[in-house]
Amino acid sequence: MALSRRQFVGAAAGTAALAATGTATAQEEPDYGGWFDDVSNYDGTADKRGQDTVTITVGAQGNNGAFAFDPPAVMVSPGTEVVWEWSGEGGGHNVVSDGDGPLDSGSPVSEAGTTYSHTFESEGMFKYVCVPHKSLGMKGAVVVRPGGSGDGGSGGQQQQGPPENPDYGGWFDDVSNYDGTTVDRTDADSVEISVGAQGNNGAFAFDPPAVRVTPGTEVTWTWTGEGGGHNVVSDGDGPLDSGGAVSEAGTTYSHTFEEMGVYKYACVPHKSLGMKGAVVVGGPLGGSGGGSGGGSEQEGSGIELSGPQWLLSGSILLAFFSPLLFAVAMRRRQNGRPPQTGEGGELQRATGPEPVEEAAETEPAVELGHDEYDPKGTAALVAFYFVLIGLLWVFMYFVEFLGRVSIIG
Amino acid sequence: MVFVDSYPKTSKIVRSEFIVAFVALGIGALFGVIQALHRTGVFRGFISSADYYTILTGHGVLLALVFTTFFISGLFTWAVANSLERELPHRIAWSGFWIMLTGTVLAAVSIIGGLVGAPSILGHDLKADVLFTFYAPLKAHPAFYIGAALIIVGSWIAGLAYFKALWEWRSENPDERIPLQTFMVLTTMLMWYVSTIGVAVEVVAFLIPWSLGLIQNVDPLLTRTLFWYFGHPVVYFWLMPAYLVWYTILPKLAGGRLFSDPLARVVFVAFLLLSTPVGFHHQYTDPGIPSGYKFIAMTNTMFLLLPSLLTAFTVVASVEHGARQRGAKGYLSWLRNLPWGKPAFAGCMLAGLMFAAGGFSGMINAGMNINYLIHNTIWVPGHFHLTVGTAFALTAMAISYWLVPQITGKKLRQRSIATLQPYVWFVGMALMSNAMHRAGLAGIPRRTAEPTYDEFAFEGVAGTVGEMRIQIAIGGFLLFVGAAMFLIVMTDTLLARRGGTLSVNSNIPEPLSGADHSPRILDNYKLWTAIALLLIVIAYGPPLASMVADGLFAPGSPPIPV
Repeated sequence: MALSRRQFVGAAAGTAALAATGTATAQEEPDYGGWFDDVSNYDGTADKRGQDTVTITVGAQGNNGAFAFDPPAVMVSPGTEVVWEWSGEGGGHNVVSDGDGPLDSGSPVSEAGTTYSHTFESEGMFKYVCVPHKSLGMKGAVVVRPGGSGDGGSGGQQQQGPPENPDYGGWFDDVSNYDGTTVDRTDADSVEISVGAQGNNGAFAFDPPAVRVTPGTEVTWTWTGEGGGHNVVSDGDGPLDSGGAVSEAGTTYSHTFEEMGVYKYACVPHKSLGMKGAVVVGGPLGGSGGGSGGGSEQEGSGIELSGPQWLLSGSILLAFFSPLLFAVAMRRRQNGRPPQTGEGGELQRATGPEPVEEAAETEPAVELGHDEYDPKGTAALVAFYFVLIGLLWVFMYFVEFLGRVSIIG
Repeated sequence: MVFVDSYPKTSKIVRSEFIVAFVALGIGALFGVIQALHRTGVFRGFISSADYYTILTGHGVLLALVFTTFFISGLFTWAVANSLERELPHRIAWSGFWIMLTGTVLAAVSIIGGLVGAPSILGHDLKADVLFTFYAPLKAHPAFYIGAALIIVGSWIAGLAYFKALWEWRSENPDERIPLQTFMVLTTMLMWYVSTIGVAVEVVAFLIPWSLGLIQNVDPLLTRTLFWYFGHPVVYFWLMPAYLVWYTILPKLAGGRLFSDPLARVVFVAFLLLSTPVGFHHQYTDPGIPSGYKFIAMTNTMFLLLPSLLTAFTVVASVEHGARQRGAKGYLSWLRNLPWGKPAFAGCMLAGLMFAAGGFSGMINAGMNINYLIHNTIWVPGHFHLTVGTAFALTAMAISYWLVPQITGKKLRQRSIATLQPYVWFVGMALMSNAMHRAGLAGIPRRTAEPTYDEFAFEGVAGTVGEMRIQIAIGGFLLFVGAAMFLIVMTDTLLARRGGTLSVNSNIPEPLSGADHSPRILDNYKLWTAIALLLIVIAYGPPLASMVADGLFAPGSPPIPV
């Protein structure tokens, strides 16, 4: 495969960036001990050392809603003032240290523009959470470390380009036509993506959903006209925005990607159906394999069984039909057998274990026949039970109103 | 002659089934007390909160599925042999037993696997934290579903033995009425066959292939619907055996006779007809089911009150007859002339009393509008601890004090513990269940390891939340003690030497009003089964058809563009 000029440059830049920042990153990326495992917008630590003030957004997009800190992980120099600024989205948030720690913004608040700040003087790692949304992954960390130079770290990371299998952070979990492969188009100068392709139970997909291009490539989205109105809008802050949803076939929207990185986007009206995509700019050169071949093996609904699965499903079927088989077997046996006599039992009992007797039947003091008996006590109890039920029903209905504001008043 | 000597082969089957049931009861009760202490926050040292759901699943499956099914199989085996006066076809009965046992072991091992780190078996994590209501989207190891399916299939085969015994009896007695106990057993089993189809289809067609990875998606609404198609009748599969005990044995224990045999038959036929087409009342908050069909389920459920109220009347009247035969007078003072010191009698009566309260909270559950007040709150477990947890479980324990001596030929041991045991259970359940109901009204959720939330405090309508927690913890602990007392009595009895004179008498006197006075059509199983199926088609046909039309494996339709 012959390399085009631009591809070569891109690759060289990627490799150079890798060489330049790779060691530095390996050295500087702190070990968070799994703290960010469930944080969807975590993508490495942003190096903000050398700045006097660093701002973190509270209620940024992430974790399936506005439940994220942005950037979630930040590295600052000692003496830096970190300011948390509320976006106003995602309900009430707060900033509280995990375990013992200096951060505590108090009760959750939701107003946009709220700020909370803390100046970090000593070195160390400061993990924090939004208490109400911790379980959703709204977690962050501030690492205070001396050294570094301004924008070095984060810029370097950008230029390195995404790895061979980019981590989309669950972005494609509900996208039916994403089969785990990023289609490699690093050989093309312009790339086309269809909007409204078949997928996600209708014409609600981008095809291909994930594509890798070299920096400088123009990507064009072409509308198929199916599945109603669609648009192409970046997830969170991003360069893509085709405007309102359009449904006419043949509509196009294009964007030229210059900077390396992973650009996620979605069709806003159908995002929840899984109409999502991503463009990966830069990174490893072609031949990652997936591309065209990936589709056929996993899309098919053919059933494939391994050895133990055959065994298991076979035995289930057998078990399920066993009553039938059993009935047939019993019927066959019965047809050719004389009826059993009771002799076996008699013999056994003669030499058997110790004899047992029942207690004597207790005779009633008064023999009450059918006509003499009148269950008046039962009638009394039944009446009592109905009264009780009536009272409990009354109680049940008014429970809602006791000490509370009623729906009417 | 004692049952064990009259029918030694059948006795052995009943004994085996009871032993499995009692082992399941012991483990289930242990899991129960762990939960009660954990969720109330009294003691959280046994398990982590993540393991709470494993324990919860074990408690539900071992008690509501294993203990009940095995005990009922044993009780029914005894009842059919006793009333038809013949040994059961023991090969069929034994195969049923072994299949159920295999299923139980599979299900129990997969649940316990979750407690020991979920090792990977056959490519799937061995765990089953799916709760007793094992529908999607929670997913268990395939072995759990296979085990559940085997328990059901085994119970089908056990049921075949009862029918075969009836056919043999019928060929010898072509004109007699079916004896009452056998009639009750077979009506219950017919209801069971009809209703377990739902869960069998759910497990075999959807959950097993899904858990094996053969299919990627299942329709959560469809699997829920199929589960609840079975999930309410299973309640009657627990209750009808208790009713069998209350109708046919309890009057004798009270010293009287059953008030009316035909009324008992009518009640059981009503359960056969109405038990199944009511499942939607568990799904009032589910989208995708038309309100009209929920309403049909509600009216059917309310009709189901009728046989239970008939039972309350008939059983109490029969017990009153016993008291009158002991010489009692007056409107209420006859209650004193009953053998409250006999554990079998006291247990059954206390169970029935609790069931009256359970019936009340059941009406709330079934009412479409007020169901929303308590939906998925701890009220619901409060309710079914009164039904399956007392009406069935306490009756089962109480009647074991009467039945186990007869099937073993051994005298009941530890009689003082046995005498006290029903009262311990009653007090424990009274504390726990009433606190659960009130906590549910305050909105406290069920199935939650730590039902406390930041910045939110539950407010009790009557009493404080702290007081309810303490009551639940004390009640749960007393119930555990009650189960342990029962198991001590049973273990000691089963290990004792046989022989001598038993403390119980097996004779069951004729009803005051016998079967001769009732229309023969009551014994026409074909007719009642056909009507039951028709009612199910009316209640379930159209909604199920629309769910199936929505796509069996890839449900849901895209929104219509505006």
